[in-house]
Order: sequence, then C-alpha cells, then structure tokens
Amino acid sequence: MNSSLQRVSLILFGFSIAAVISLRLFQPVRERRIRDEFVKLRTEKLFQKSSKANSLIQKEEAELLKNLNRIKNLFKHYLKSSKPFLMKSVFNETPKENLHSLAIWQGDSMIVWENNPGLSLNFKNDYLPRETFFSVRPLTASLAAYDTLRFEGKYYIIKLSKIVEKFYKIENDYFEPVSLNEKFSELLKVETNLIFNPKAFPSENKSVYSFVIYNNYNNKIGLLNFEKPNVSYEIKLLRIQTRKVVSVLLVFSFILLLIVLSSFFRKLNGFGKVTVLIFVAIILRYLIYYVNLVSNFFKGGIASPQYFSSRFGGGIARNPLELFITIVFGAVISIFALKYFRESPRDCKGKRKWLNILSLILISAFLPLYFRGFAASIQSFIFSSSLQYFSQNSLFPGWIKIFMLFNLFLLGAGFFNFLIIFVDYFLKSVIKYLNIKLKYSKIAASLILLFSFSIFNLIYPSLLLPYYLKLILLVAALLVSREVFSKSKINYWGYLYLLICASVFSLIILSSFSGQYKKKSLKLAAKEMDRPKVNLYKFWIKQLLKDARTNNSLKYSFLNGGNLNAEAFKIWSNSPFQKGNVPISVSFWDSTNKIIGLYSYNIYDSNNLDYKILSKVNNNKDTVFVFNNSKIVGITKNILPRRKKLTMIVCVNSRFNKITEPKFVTSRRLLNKIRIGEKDLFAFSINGNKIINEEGEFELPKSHIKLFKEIMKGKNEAWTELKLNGNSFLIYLHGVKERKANLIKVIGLKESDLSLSWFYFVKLFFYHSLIILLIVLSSFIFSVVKQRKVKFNFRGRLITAFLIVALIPLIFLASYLRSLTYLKNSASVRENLKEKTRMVISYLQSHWDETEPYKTLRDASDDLRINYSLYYRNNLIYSTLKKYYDIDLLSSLLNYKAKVNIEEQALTGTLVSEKVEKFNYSSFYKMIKIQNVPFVLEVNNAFNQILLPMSGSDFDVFLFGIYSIAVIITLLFSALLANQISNPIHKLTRAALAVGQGDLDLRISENYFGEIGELIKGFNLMIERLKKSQREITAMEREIAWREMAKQVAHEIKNPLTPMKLNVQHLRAAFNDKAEDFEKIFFTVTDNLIRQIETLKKIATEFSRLAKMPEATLKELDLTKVVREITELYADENLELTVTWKKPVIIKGDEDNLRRTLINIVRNAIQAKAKKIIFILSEDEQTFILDVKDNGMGIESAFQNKIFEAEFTTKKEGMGMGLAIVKNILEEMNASISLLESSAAGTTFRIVFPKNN
Amino acid sequence: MKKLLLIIVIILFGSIKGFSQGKGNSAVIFKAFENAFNYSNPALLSTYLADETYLSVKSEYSGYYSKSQAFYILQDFISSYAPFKIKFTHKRLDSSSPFAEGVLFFSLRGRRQRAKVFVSLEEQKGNFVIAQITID
Repeated sequence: MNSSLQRVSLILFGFSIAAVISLRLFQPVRERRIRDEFVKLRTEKLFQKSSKANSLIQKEEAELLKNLNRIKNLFKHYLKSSKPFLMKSVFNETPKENLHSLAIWQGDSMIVWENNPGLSLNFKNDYLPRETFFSVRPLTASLAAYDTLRFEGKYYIIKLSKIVEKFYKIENDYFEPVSLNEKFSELLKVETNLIFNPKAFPSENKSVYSFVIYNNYNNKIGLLNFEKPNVSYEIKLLRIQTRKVVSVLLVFSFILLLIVLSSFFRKLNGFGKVTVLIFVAIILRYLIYYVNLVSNFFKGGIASPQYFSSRFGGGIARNPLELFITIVFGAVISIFALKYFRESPRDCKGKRKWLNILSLILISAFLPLYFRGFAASIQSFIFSSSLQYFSQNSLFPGWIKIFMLFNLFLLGAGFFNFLIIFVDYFLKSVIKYLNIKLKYSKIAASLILLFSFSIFNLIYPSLLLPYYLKLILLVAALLVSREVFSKSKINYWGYLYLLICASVFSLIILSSFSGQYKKKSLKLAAKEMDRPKVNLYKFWIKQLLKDARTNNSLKYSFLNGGNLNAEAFKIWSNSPFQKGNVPISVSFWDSTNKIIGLYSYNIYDSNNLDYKILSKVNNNKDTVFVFNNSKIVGITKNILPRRKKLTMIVCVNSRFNKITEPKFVTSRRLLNKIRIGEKDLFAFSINGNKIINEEGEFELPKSHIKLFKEIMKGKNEAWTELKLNGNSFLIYLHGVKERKANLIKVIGLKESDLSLSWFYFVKLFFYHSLIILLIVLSSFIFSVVKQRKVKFNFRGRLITAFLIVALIPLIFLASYLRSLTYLKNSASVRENLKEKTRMVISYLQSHWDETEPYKTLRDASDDLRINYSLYYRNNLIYSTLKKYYDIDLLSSLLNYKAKVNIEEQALTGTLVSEKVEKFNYSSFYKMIKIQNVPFVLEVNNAFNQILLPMSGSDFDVFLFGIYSIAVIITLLFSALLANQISNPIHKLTRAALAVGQGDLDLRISENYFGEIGELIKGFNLMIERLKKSQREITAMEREIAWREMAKQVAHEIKNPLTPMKLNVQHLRAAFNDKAEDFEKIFFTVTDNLIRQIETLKKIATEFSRLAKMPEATLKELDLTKVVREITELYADENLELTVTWKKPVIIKGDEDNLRRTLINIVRNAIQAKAKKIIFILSEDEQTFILDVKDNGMGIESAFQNKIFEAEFTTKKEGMGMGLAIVKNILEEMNASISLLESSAAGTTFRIVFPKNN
Repeated sequence: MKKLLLIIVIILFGSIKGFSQGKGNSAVIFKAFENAFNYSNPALLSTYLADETYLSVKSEYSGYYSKSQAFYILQDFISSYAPFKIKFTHKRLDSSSPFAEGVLFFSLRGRRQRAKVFVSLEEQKGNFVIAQITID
C-alpha cells in the first residue's frame, strides 16, 4: 500500500511541477489573450457583474417581502382574535432585528411603530402595495415596502423597512456597520458607488458603468456605478490568481516529494529521523514564507500584523497565523523527538567517556540560552503585539486572543518537550558513572544538573527571567521527565503533567512581561498626551473644508431644507477626528451668520467663538486659525460658489481632556490600546503651584507638588510610587515646556491588586485547560477507535464520578449567583432611574414657569445634573441631549412599548430596554402632569451614569476567581481520593494475575486499613495457604506416584519370576533323578530362563523410560511479547523494569514454561532487593541472547557455581529447585542459561535461544 | 598658529556638517517615505521608524506600534492598497518636530482613489525618526 501511495504521489508531483511551469510559461500568452479579446471579455464581465448585482438586490427584496407577509398574517390573526393589547402582541412578535422598523397606520393615524430612525414619519403613496423602494433619511437608507389590510371596515397600512446603508461610522464596539454598497463591492470585486435616488442620472464618465437598479415591479429605484473592467486591472487580477495557485502548487509539490522519499526516511534510526525532520521542517516553513502562502489567502484578523509581528527569522512570524505555523512545526518536531527518545533509551555502553562528558557540559551550557530563547519568544507576545492579556475584565477575551493563547500553549509545550529530553539524557548519562543505589544516584544527578546549570547561568546571566524561576522550571522538568521516561508503558499522566507545566510556566512568564510592559505603557500614555497634534489637526481640518465643497449630500440638504445637523454628524463620523476622540465641533452658517447645522463632540466652548473673525476670512480661501496653541478653527465660506452662501466652521481642541459623551458615540480610547484601563489611570499637569486634572477621577493633594518638584530636580523624567485613596500607583514624571512655561506632567497607573491579577491568570489558564481537555479527549477517542473498546479504568471512573458530583452543583450555583447579581443590578438601575425621575418631576412641578417653560426644563437638568427627555403626544419636545435626536440617531417618537404600558396598562411608570446600535440601555418612562397637561418623562442610563455596587464584569471577576480555586481544590482532592481508593484494588488485580501465571512468592504490603486492609490480609493468607497446599499436594502426588510405580514394578517382575523358579526346580529334579534326557531338559530350562531374563530386562527398560520427564511441546512464540507481559505483571511493584528493544523476536519454545522461567528470575531479583531490572537483547548469526540484569545484592562467589543444582538454596524457605527447573525448561527448548556476572551491584543472567531457522 | 587655525577649521566644518546633517536628515527621511510608496518598498522606511510609532491607517489601524509591527502594517497596507504615487504638498523641515503632508494615490479594486497622508518626525538619540504616520 505504501509503495502504491508513493507511486501516486510521484505522478501527482510530476503534474504539479508541470502545472507550475506551464502557468509561468503561458502567463504572457494569457495576458496577451486578455488584451486581444478585451472588448468581448469586458462585455462578459459586465454581464456577470450585472447579474450578480441583480441577484443581490432580488435576495434583499425577497427577504423583506417575506417578513412583511409574516407581519401582515400575524397582525390579521390578532385583529381576528380581538385580544386585548393585540398591538403590543404584534409588535412583540416582529422579527427582532435592529435594522428593521415597522409602522402600522389605521387610516391616517400611526397606531404601531418601532422606535428606529429608519422609519419615515409620513407615509408617502408613491409606490404600489408590495412594491419595494429605497427610503432615504439623513443618516441611513432603507429598503422598504408596504401592504394594506381591510378588517371590519377599517383600513390598515403596514410598512416594513430594513436599513441597508449607514452613512456614518463610529469606531467602537457598539457600532453595527451596514453597507449595501460594500456588499456590492465585495460581490463584484470592484469599488462601487450606490445611489439611492430613482432620479439619478447615469455617470457621464466613460470609464464608469451605471447599472440601473430595478425593483420587483420593474421600476427604477436607484443606480449602481462602478469602474468598467480595464485591461491593467484584469491582468493584475490574473497575476494575483496565478500567484495564489502557484504558491499552493509549490507547497503541495514539496509535500508530495516528501511522501515519495518517505521510504528512505523509514529506514533511518530515530536520531536520523529527527534530524531529517528538522531540515524538512525548516525548508517547508521557508517555502511557505517565500511563496507568501498565508498573505495570498488571508487578510486581517489573525493575519493582521497589529496583533503580533516580529522580524524573527526574516519575518516567518509577521502575524499571528504565520507565528502559529512556525510554532506548529517546532511542536511537531519536539513530539517526534520525544517519541524517539522515549522508545530508544540511551545505552551509553561503548561510547567514549570524553564524548559523554563533553555532551553533558554542552547541555549545561546550552540550557541558560535555551531558557533565554523561550523567555524572549514569550516577551514578543507582549512587546510585539497590541493585544492586552491582563487588563480586560470580560470572560471571553475574543477569538484573536484565544488564538494567540493557543500559540503560547504550543510554544510552551514544544519548549518543555525538548527540555525534558535534555534533562533525561543528562541524568541517565550521569547515573551511568555513579556507582551508588539507583534512588540516590537520581538525586545526585539532579543536583549535578542544577549546579552545572547555575554555573553557566552565572557566566552569562539573562535578565529576561529571574534565576529562581529558571530553577523552578528545571526542577519541574526533572519531575515531569521522571514520569514520562521512567516506565516502559506510556504514562499518560506524565504527558498531562507536561502540558500543565507548559501552560502554567508560559502564563507566569507572560504575566511577568506584562507587568514590565506597564511601565512602558505609562510612558507611551505620556507620549500620547504630549504628541504634537496641532499641525496634524490643521492638516485634517483643511481636508475637511476641502471635501465639503464636493459633498453632494451636504449641498442637497442645504438647498432642500434638509437636516444639516445630521450632515455635520456625518462629516464628523467619517473624519479621523472621530476615531481619535478629539474634541470637535462642525457647524454650518447661513449668509446672516446664523447657525443652521451643528454637531459637537466633547467640546463646549465652540459657541464662544468670536465671530468677528468671520469677517477676516477670505471668501475664496479656506482659513485655519490657531488659538493658544490648542484651539484650532478652520473656516470656509466657499462651499457653494455662485449660489447661496454656506459657511462651514470646524473647531478642534488639541488638548487631551476627559470624555463626557455617551459610550455609543465614543471611540475606543487610545489609552485602552496602550493597555491602560481608564479607571486605573490619572494624569495631572503641575504649573507652578497649580494642579490641572487632565485625566482620571482621582484628586491629587497639593502637598504632593513639592514632592514631585523635589524628585524632578535636575532631571527631565523620573519614576516613583504613590499611595492614593488606599491604592498604590506607579507614577511617571516628565518635564514639558508649554508656551514658555515649565510644566511637570504627572501620569499614574494603579497597581493591580491580587484578586484581579489572580483572575487574569486563572482566566487565561482556563482557556489553556480547555485546550488540554481537548487533547485528552482526542487521545481518548483515538485509543477507543484504535482498540475498538473503551478502556476506562477504575481510577478514571472514580475521578470522573467525584468531579461530576462536585463540579455540577458548583456550576449551577455559579450561574444562579450570576443571574441573581444581574437581576439585582437591573433592580438597582430601575430604582435609581425611578429616583432620578422623581427628582425631576418634583423640580418641574415646584419651579415651573409658564412664561419660560424651556428655561425651567434646562434649569432642572443643570441644577439636578440629570439628563432627561420630555414627550408630548408621543413626540419629543425637549431633551437635555437633544443633539442625538436632531441628527436622527435616536427617534423623536415615544418608545412604543412604553406608550402601550402607560396608556393601555395604565402603569404609572415603566422600565423599557432600548438599544442604539449594539449599545443596550434601560429607560424609565413616567406619565406626569404639569399644569394639568399630560407629558411623558424619560430618564435613562445611557445619558446618566449609574454606579452599581458590583457591575456585571466585576462580579464575573470575583466569581471566576473564587470558583477557579474551588475547581482546582476539587480536582486535587478527587485525584488524591481516587488514587487512595484505587491503588490497593490495582495492586490486588496485578497480584491475582501474577498468581494466575504461577508466581506464588509475591506478597502485597499490608499498609491499608479497613475493608481493603482485611482484603489484602486475606489475599496474602490465601497465597500462603495455596503455596503450602501446593507443596503438600506435590509431595503427596509424588509419594502416590512412586508407590504405584513400585506396585507396578513388583507385579511385572513377579510374572517372569514364577516360571523361572519352576524351570530351575524342574532342572534340579531331572539332575537328582539322573534323567536320560537331562541334556535336553538342561537346554530347555536354560532357554526358558534366558527368555524370562529378557522379559525382566524389557520391564526394567520400560520403567526407566517412564521415569523420564515428558517432552515439552515446542511452538513458535514471540519472546518480546512474553518479556513485556512480565514487565506489566510487575509494573506496580516498587521496581523499574526496562526492555531495551521493541521489535518482535520469534523463537521456538513453550510459552508457559518460558513465562515461568522469567517469573522465577524476576522473583529472585526482587528477593535480592533489586529496584531495577533491564532486559537486553542482542543476537548473532545463530542465536538470540537475552541478558537479564538487576541491581540487587548479588550472589556470593562461593555459591555461584551451585545455583543451578537441584535442592541448593540460600533462602530460609524454598526447596532450591527454582533455577534447576529453569535450567531444565530451557534445555528442553534447546536454550541455555548461565550466570554472566554477579556482585554487590547486581546480577546478570544470560539466556541463549537458538534462532528459529 | 597654523595648527590652531587648522583645528578651528576642522571643528567648524564638523559642526556645520553635523548641523546640516541634522537638517538634511528629515529631508532624507521624507524622500525615503516617498520612495517607499512610489516603489512599493516599505523596507526603505524600516530604519527610520521610531521604537514606538503612532500609526493611523484607514479604519484598520490606530495606535502605537513597535518597529516591526509598524513595518509589517505598512507592508500590509502597500500590498492591499497598491499605492502608486505619493505627493507631499507641504513640508516643514526646520523645526524640532518636522512634518510633511500630502496625498497618496492608490488603486483599490480597480478604482483609483486618494488618501490624506501626514508624517511627522521626532528626535531620538540625536537623529530624526518617524514618530507619526496617518493615512486616512
């Protein structure tokens, strides 16, 4: 099968190489063909793109109409059933998609609506029922359709819209990008421009193709413009495709070549295999890098260099995916090396001593460098990545972080694999030269390793890892190597410890580097605050002003009375100021210098601008002013030349200040990216004796000014620590010159407390544990599939049972507590909002001024510092943050659910969950009366900060930390208990098997109590009695056998003796009677006598043959299998059994007898206090030679030549037949046994088997 | 006397060269920046990047990045956006924080587009390095 696979691979290899060559050779031909047939090709491509565009729009329409149908049916159903609150039921059952909005009119009145800005307030009848169309609002465009319904004489219109395009974008986690234009671009693989206007004209640009979008009624509803296919772009696409295909083919060819050469690989020994594997891995890795296989197919996400990149190896780890591939190669080599090293333990015999010592020195010298390399690799996870592992409170860290954690785990596992190989090689090499007991020699060798490592560590110390950590790592490696390499059978627990150590140590090192990075982060934060931005902002402002002149949407809005607030918001959201959280205002002014459109973000003094400067601005030029080196104002009056005058002013504040805007419009803080959470940071400027708070909630006492000045004397920067509000802070101080004043900038970062640090560590370890669990499960499934049976031993069942009993209630309890906390938090939010509502109502009712109602409303907000909204007849009439309603981001209609709850259910107040983008918040609505006029007041926690005693994420930190400790303790105790219970059962099982094999000399130690102790005692007693009765039975049987035989002999001998006596008597009588025929009688009698004597002789021969032992039946057997069975039999004794070969060895013999022989030898070694027995196989042309070597007390030289004699023994008990029988058995098999050597260091028996030729 | 004059000349020459080198350094860097994008070769920039460079590239990257990260991000940008021309419309070299602003032309999915580019330098160990790059 292997050779057929190689043949197929060779053929495929040939095809691949031929394909690569032909692709390269025919590339110019294909390009020429594109050029020559371009006109035809372009037409085809345009047709394909048009069909795809059509399909996409039809799919969107079909989905919309399907949902509309469903809503109509639901609505009809509820109308028929006349259930109360049917509107609410219909509303509740509409598809829960943020992008959909629903409105139902009864006649001219809107009776149902979903609060979404995509909803058009006025119903226009430009289209037929079920005809789709685009509905455009200031910030969004929707695909919409309506349907009608008549019921009981009433006429209903049901309109459903789905947002297909958002004209703004906000860089944060709450923004939900929607772009049909982008979908078209992705689909058609060309930049598109989607126009939602049915009256739009096709582009006059000849290089642009205008695809008319028709609806389901074949009416034009929009236009899609895109660049026509051009020759250079098509050729570029062709080259990209060819490059992708060639890269895949080259890698594939290399892999096929490896398969073809695999037979050569199989002939190598383990060391050769590992060496070849390393070379192959390096070549393959560089081939993948060279052909850019990863970047050809992956962009962004795990292939983005911002999440990780390093110049290591010329760029083979330039993003997380490349890093993963590199690490996987390393891990595979380490696994292979481990496998080889485990299966072929070093027998250093025959190697030169000086070579051994040199290799030991080299290992000791190499280890510090090896640790350094490992630490440097983990350091790059922090310093060459923008990911934060130890600062995010949420349980789920995101897929990219999980991927990098997986990389870290693989790196740790690979490192540990190689480490335990080095350590084990070192130990075994040293132990060989130590002529002391095995137990002490291991400890001595370990100490020698630690000592020599420490010496070399002193010679070239590395500051990356502290010395104590390196020592702990080495000790852990020593313990793990003992588990992995000590036993002949694979010890899965050893591998589990290896994986756990790999995870724990890599996370500890990652955590220590993360701590080091904090200092760097603080400096970066200071750098960010001081980054010169004035020139950059001036540049951006100039671009904004310039772009405004080509902004068709702005012009159209201005000329048609559109929403200029929304236009200002769009300009801001699409500008780089948005993602930088820069305080800015964008405003529009008409010819009378009246403000007609405004959006401001985190800036409150733009209205204080001295508008006299407007007169200084040239009509035909964009002008930018800078005030106090921080406030930058850009003005253009030139937006609509030769038409109505429209002025745009952009105001930017370049100073770093606190953000007071709601979260849904706030971008991710740059400081967050520098790995500093907002709550943990503060920043101040000290100017003389004045402290200016630039960031954070902390107050810096004035007494610290003197301290900081003292620290900064003669320095430009300094570090210190400070205790503030019971927390410890790391402080970075640096001097800055601002407008001729010497300032001291103070920036402080809170040190993480223990519980938080523990939470972060456990969270990451949790994900590593999942990986380990996955590996364990995969191994288990693999072994089940391979052996076709489930091997789940008693200990495993016990551990599983304990874990299930302990962990399941823990999990239930944790989720219950979590739900309870969330419920309590919701209740707390409700109470808080209710209280705020009550305060506002009380204020309004007591301060109401009929003449200036809006002033009262403003004063209520200013005095109470509460943001709220007021509704009258379902419409918003006032809001403290009205700008979000003005720009159409939030709907000005009263929340429908709240309306139904208040009106129909007559609830005085109702808490409603609302959403803007993906930002969830709660709003409390209450019906109030001011001067007997009904209003609805709304207070929410999007615009009002509510502090909870323990937020959701804080609780998760607490819960996860506590429960992780509980899980670890449960695991440990389960393992301990299971071990305690299963150990004696395991020993009993092994002992029973050994007894079944004929070993009656073993005893189980009686260190156990209770029922198990009794069982073991009983078992030992049973063996004792069994042995005694076996001896008695054997003796009795022997006696019976001999008696029988004697009786038989007597009987057989008697038979010929009688006729012999008669013949002699007859001869005597004839002699006495002097018979005449005496001569004849003489010869007759003597003949008879001779015949009888022959008979006696025959009887004697037969009996002698009977006394011989029966011949053994010789069959072919596998010596290796028998030896391995013996080692398994004694696996649980305090004994190390090693078999130095693996291949099957076929000899002729009796399997049971051979087993008895080896048991006898092993039992003798155990009785001689041996702790280690090695089975060594060698061979020559004619024979297999099995040496059984132990490290017991040895045999005294005086007795060495007597041990094979029957009835010779030096033991108190025993008949001394053991080795004699062993010798006999082996001789029956044409084998031989001899004592090779024996001393106080141990004994070696040599058994020689003839080869089965 | 002659020796003294010679020493003075040498010192003066060295200072002038050092000063002009400091001044010319920023011009060299901006030129290297232009070449990196005109010839799609980000390696021309790698020696001029600061240890922590502020990058704001389209909507994909925004923040401080190490030298190697910044290099690979620029490489990624060049391979994705295929810029073919960069033109600095304004440069300011004689300042403690030189900067240049301009327009970058690129081709995305067959369509030619432009982006605003701003590059500023800072002094690090006596030489100028690129501290800030924004491409929006």
